[in-house]
Amino acid sequence: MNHDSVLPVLALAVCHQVPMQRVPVQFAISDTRRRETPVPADLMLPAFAVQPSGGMRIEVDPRETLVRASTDLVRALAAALPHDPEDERLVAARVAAVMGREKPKPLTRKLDD
Amino acid sequence: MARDDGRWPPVYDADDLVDQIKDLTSREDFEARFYEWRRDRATVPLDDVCQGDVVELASDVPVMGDDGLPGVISNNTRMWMVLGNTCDFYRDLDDCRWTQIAPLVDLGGPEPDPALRDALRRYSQFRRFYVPPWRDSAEQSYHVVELPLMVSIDKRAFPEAARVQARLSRPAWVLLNACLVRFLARDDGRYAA
Repeated sequence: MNHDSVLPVLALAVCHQVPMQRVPVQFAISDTRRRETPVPADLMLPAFAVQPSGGMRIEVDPRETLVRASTDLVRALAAALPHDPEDERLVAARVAAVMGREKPKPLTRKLDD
Repeated sequence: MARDDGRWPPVYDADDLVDQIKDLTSREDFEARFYEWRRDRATVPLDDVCQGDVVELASDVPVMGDDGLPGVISNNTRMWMVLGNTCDFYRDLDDCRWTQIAPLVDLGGPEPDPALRDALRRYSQFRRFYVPPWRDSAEQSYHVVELPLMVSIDKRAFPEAARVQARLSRPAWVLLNACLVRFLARDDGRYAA
């Protein structure tokens, strides 16, 4: 596993909400309750940078970087949370038994009201 | 544990992610460590909304049916989980009006059978997120967040119409994030060898 590129997809998803000069390469999942909190300098990735205007500038081939990152992301999640089709079917059957399969009821108000 | 600035520290890499999830889900007191705030035990109220909050909202679930027309399906629990980002609640209305929630389905209490309970606690399903009981009562209930039924809600519905009932602990919040990403990035197995 290349930890230098783990989960920057998530970083891209959340970093725009945090005012900062650089985007952290290892910033996998971070608390966004305090959007003003700066990110430590040792977590910066030169490949991604926030421009003075606030927009994001990507300095390397974004497609290659993101494809690699996406692969690492899926592998990391598979290691952390192994999927079990039998468990999925067991829980799905219980949910279906509780919720049923009735058709959605029409809205009580017309959409153009 | 929160840092001095009140912000939870980030998860740095895959190993950190694995360790935190396993540390939470393997503990005997897993359910007790799942929440950092519960309304039934609170001495001070909350004045904000965060990702992962369990909220009570008396609404059915809006969906489009097989005819492509809008309708609703019942949500008898009246409980939902906030899945939208916390920071969306701090943004201006013109910048961000909507957030996302998904309904909680009650699996039927007071205690699911052991096989079902074990499956829930393994977090081994793509489409659902297990939510342990958040209230002290004689009849505990077990819920899952039904991720495919995620809906949008105007954030102004909080806190009047949608009241927070429980707030996740940091390990549980990390687990939720991992499950959310896995739900969207899941491998459906069609091309497995």
